[in-house]
Amino acid sequence: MKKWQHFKWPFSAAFIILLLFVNAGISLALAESTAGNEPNEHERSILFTEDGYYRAPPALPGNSQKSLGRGELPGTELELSEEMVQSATLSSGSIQLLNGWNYISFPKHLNPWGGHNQASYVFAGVNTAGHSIFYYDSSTGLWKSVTPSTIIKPLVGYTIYSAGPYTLNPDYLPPNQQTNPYTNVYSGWNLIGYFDPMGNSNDDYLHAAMARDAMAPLGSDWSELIGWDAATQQYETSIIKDGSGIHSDYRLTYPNKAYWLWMNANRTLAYSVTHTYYCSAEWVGEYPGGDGDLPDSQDSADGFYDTLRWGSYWKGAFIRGDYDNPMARAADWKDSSYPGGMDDNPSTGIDTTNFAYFSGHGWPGGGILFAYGYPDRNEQELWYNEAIWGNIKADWIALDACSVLSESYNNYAVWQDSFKGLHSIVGWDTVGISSKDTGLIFANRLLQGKNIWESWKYATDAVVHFPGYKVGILAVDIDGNTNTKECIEDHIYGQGTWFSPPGYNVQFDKDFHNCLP
Amino acid sequence: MNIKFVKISGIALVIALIAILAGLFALNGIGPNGGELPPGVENVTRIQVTGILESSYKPSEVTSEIAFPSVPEKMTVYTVDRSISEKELLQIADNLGISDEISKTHSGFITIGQGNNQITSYKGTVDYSDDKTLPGYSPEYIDTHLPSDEEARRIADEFLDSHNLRPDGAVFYNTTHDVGHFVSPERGVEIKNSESINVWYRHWIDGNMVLTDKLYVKIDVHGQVRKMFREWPHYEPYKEFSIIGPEIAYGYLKDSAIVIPEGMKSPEKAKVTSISMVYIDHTMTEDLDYLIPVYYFQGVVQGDGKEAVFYQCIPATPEFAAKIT
Repeated sequence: MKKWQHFKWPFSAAFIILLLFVNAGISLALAESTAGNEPNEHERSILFTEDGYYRAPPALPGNSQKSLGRGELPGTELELSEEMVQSATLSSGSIQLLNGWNYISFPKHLNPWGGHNQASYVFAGVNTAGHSIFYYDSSTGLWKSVTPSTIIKPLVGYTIYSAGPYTLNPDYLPPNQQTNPYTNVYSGWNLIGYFDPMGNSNDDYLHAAMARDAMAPLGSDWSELIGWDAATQQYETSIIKDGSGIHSDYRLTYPNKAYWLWMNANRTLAYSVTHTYYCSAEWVGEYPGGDGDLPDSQDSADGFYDTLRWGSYWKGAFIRGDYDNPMARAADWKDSSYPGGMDDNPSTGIDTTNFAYFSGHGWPGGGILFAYGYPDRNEQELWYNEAIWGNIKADWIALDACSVLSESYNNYAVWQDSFKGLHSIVGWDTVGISSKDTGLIFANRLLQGKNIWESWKYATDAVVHFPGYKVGILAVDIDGNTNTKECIEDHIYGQGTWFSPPGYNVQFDKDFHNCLP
Repeated sequence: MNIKFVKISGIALVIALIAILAGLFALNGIGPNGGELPPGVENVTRIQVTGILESSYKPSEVTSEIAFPSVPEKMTVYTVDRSISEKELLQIADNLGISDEISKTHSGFITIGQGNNQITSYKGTVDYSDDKTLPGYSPEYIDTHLPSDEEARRIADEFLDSHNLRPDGAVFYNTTHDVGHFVSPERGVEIKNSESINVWYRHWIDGNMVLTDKLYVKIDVHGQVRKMFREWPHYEPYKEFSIIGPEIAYGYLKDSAIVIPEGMKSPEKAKVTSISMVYIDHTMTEDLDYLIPVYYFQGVVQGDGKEAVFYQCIPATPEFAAKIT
């Protein structure tokens, strides 16, 4: 049975157009005030000291801060400047030093055997041109020199001068011997090392992470992160907690880099090397009113959920359909910033799970349809412009629903603003086939170690027996380099490589596949 | 006994009589094949033949200006065997140079091989995938390094033949392209960065295409074979059955919903552009136990301010239509 679709303009779109006319004057004024990426009030309160001077991180020993006048900002705070190291390539852990000062960190515990975790081994061969290697003791606010016997640890930032490029090849402990790292951070500036909040004992690769995720263990007690761009020998644009624009904490932080962290209180920064990932599914089989029933959607959702939740490192968070209380509903997919949105509800919100699956109706306008709330269409429908996914946990979403990624309707484009940490969405380009088997095949393929896009294509190839059906994927392209692909090649956690996307200035790869011509 | 009750009883009696007569007529209408029904279709009570692909898209008008095809009076119905023996899978793996033990999951997946070099079978499908990650390419690079469709077909033919993977009855059908793009909303750019060619083969039996079988070989840039996917069950002749004429099938089409893969909420005028006899062993969502002949109507339909292709399958053997509708 084919999945029903309907066509309509979203009420909100028309409303926005109206608002644009009504508020034209206000919009222009707003555009003027944000020109030049000037920080807003919240950001200024973090970037500047109480007496109005730019709050720069501590200068290296022997160096002095570049003086700035009251209210002045360095150029990097007005224009995005960041070194996107290792965003596009997976790494086993080598660290590339560039000529000059480098701010680096070691994202895993080093192997203590034979002293391979000591500075004399780790930094052997680096021509520091007579400079010391430093780390910053934030409890005293003093720099300390690294000695040959210093144990090099994760979560500590190191500054090292290199006369010319040089590659460090640290000897890390294997994944299954990594232990949970922690360090104390203090009010004021701390120079911290990066530790992948999602990478763990099942994964030998390094991953970037959105600053908000990397700093999540600190709760609301952090306010600013600043990286160092070794290529230009200057600080990067700061990342501000809950910042906007170029200061957004949806920007990525990277393995092997060190970051200046401004803390508002003393805390312990700690990570776990083991993780449990959660899947969820919602399905609608019986649609009230004139919308056709989909008797196979329950089996499709069950197949996905009951398969993936038994995968290594995975657990089921919830599956909800026609007979649950509450039923599957649009609110579980709608961001909490919208009226009625509950996608961050820990027991029912799909953004609290890593992989969410929906089986039900969709339509070319960019949305999915529920039975819950009938006959109130606003409650029944989830529109693309009500979805913000990944700001809590969602990494991947599969929409087993008609036309949600319709190429001819430009539907892949309408979902772009929903990506706030989400890696990818797979779905139907054309009308879809509602099959009992889709979710089961998809999840099995994922657990076979195939990537998400290949698994979706395989599942839909297997259930489509009639001509004309197409499926698609919209996935984040992290670095904007057309020669590299990132999230479109993602595997699920525990089954292969994956990339952490930013939620700021997101770029994409889209792809489509004919299931049967 | 009041008058109202008498009236209701009378009406009920008339309805029951009509229903009995209609039932007798319908049973009688099964005709000469009534005693030849396969297991599972004994309870046929109607012979109405409708489209097998149910949907809500029923156009307000269906027209056709093309000539009806000539068809035989009878056609063979086949039984379907979707199972693939371990021996057969091992042979396919061996042909691909994969030697490993068979691994099975409780849900019915069978895999041979590891990592990028493996085949998987599920419900009669066989998949061979080379999952090595490819970089993105510039449009110019793709255009100069992706084989032509003709070259892709030659590569696919050679792949199937050299690995002894071409199933009986496989005939080249056409090629399609899967195209990927890099999209930067902020920069307002959309750049092609991947493209592959799927070379499709279809299964023909008794001069008729099996619409629901498929085999494709995916050819990437540099002419590399990246994937083979096939669903190619075994068929054994079951019995010959009389078939309805195309004009009768066309009549049923007019009463049927149609399939519009691109989607159309309100189809209006549908025009048939092709009628052919094909076999199917699936409905849209169900596996059939028999390979049955159907009239395959294709055409274009107008509605929602656009035009789109449509199709519909009308079973040619009323007995099997009764089973699947």
